[in-house]
Amino acid sequence: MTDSIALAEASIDRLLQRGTDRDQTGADLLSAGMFDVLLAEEQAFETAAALVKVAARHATDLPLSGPMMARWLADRAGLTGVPEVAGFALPGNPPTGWLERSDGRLVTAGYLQGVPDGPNGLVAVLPLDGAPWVVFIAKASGLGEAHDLAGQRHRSIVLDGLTIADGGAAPLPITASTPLVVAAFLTAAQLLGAMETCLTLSTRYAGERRQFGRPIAQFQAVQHLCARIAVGVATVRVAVTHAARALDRGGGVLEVAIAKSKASEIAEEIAAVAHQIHGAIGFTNEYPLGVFTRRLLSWRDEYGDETFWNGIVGTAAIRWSTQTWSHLVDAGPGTDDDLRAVLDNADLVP
Amino acid sequence: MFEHVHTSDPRELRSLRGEIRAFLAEELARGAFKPAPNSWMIHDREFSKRCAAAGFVGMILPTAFGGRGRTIVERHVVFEELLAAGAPVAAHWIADRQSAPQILRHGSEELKQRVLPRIAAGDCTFAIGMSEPDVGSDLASVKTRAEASDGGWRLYGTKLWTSNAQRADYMVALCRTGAPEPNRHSNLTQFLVDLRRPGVSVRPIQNINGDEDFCEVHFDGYHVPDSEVLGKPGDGWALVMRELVAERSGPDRFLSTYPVLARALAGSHPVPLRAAAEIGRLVVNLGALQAMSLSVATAAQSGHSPEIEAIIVKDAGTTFEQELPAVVRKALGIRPGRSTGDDLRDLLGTALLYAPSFSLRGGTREIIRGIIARAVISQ
Repeated sequence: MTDSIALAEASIDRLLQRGTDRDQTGADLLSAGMFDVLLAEEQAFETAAALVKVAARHATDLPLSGPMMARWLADRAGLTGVPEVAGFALPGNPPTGWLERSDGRLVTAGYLQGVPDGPNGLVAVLPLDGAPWVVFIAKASGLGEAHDLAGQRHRSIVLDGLTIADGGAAPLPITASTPLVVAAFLTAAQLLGAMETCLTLSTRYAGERRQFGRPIAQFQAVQHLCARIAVGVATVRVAVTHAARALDRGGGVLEVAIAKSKASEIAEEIAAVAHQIHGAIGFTNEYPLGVFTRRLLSWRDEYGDETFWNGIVGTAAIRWSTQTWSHLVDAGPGTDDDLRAVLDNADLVP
Repeated sequence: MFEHVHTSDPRELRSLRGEIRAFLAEELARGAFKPAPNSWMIHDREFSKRCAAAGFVGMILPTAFGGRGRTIVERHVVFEELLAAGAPVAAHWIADRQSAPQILRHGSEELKQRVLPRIAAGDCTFAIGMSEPDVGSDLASVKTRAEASDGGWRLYGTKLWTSNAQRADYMVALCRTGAPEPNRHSNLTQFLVDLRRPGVSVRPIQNINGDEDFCEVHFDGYHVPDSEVLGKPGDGWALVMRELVAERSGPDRFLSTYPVLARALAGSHPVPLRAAAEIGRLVVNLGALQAMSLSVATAAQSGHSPEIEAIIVKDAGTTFEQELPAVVRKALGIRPGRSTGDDLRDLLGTALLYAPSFSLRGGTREIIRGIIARAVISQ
């Protein structure tokens, strides 16, 4: 880890530890430039992953990865009139929402599901005649709302007939599958942060809780549960770092697929094992574990669950046949191209 | 663990991978070997000698001893490629992986001059002398003893589960050289044993796959001259712990059954579409483990001692190599067998029968998880 990333981690850690007033903390994140990190020329993805990981360690309910995505895509596409902190949404595949031309203006149609709640509008990637565009949607009416397992509010919004302001839409200047890949990557980093806290809470609890006259950490059965969490955290930590560095080198589809698949799969194991270690207290809302395990169980399904990403890699591997090993370890440009081709045709419910 | 993840840029390793793949393709083309699971237990001295001649053995030994002066990461990459291809590397594997580094660090000058160039030439097979009839996970309780005599030591006792001892030239044996005081790790010593000299006898043991790849080795007063003692007498525990780090972190801890997946993807049995995600999960796990294992090698190359990280790779890696044949069997719906004439069915059969050994050798899963737990609970 380079110094600048360590500094970024320390800085957001300080902000979130200090923050008691939600609005003030949000303003602090903004003024510290935390939503802009994907625009950096170097180590953009590794820095972004470090920030969302630390934020997830604290279980903050302030949005971070969504505004990062919104800033980044709006900037890359050259949109104007987008607020500094906006939401982000993808329409799934096949898309439930799209852009149309009407009387020389761009209007949206269809709907979006699972849109994170926020006051400032959202940046979405919607197709226009089959080609992806980045679109800023200032205001839309809700069809309804739902809460995910983490307690975070999502809305379904109607897109029909919304006129897009001048400068509010432009062709996506990067490969079509990249927004999904990057969103999945940031979600894997969030999962890592929540897993790290589960490990900390579990090992601390095992060391403190006494039964039969000794800390339960002295029982081999409990030790092995702690080891399973540690191995899971280590696996995701390496996978996310690899994905970050591969993205920063201009590749990263394979590495993100691996990172999101492993993070989503291991989320379930870590949530279950952490609860097993904690016993009844971990199952209550009086103790913080549930805050993290509910996030694990919710986030693992965002931007492709493990079955989705395994299917992408598996479909590509069947095509790669005897070349699978070299695709996996060489991480050449052809590898990501093949994965993108599979991704473009894969069904994904947001 | 893995607080600071060390990564190697895969682009910088491509040309070396190209070299070793070209060597392996040539060997395959002339039928020198057939890809097999668990190939680091398959002994073929001629293959090892050719591998060495091509520069792929003794890579990190100093050039003065016939080594190639390559980096830890470069050697790691060659290990990966050899095992991914299912090549028969047992004749040089143990020597290259753990015995040569022990001799280089702790051997006498005379010993280094005599043995290391032979290892680098791929013409010297080593066995591991740790386990005994009553000593498995609890290594400090070894009972094989060495008594000082005639300008050296005499060995008495029995080592067990010693892989390829009947084909090996040497063993590095851990013996008790004094009372277990002040603690049970005290007064243990590592010795080089020449398995061709008198005073030592080897009995091969058949495993459940019908192969004779491990042995019982009996010492009846075998004589070790002082020049063949590794390190200072009594310091053996520290030495053997370091040796175990080399034994636990490498690609041999997650690639043992990869040739089964490679064969499954080669297309003789079509992969049903509904099985794509299950097969994809194996490929994903392989990629995750390869990254972790290479990260450990990269950290070691940067001067770190990633012991817990190495053990984590062993735990996750052996779980993966055990589940791989089980998943392939279910996903493709094929029946594993032996000499069925169908490569995939036979590879699956071998892999399934070897699978129980993966989480036993080099430290059982239970021992490994205990070490990991103690590391994270005390943090």
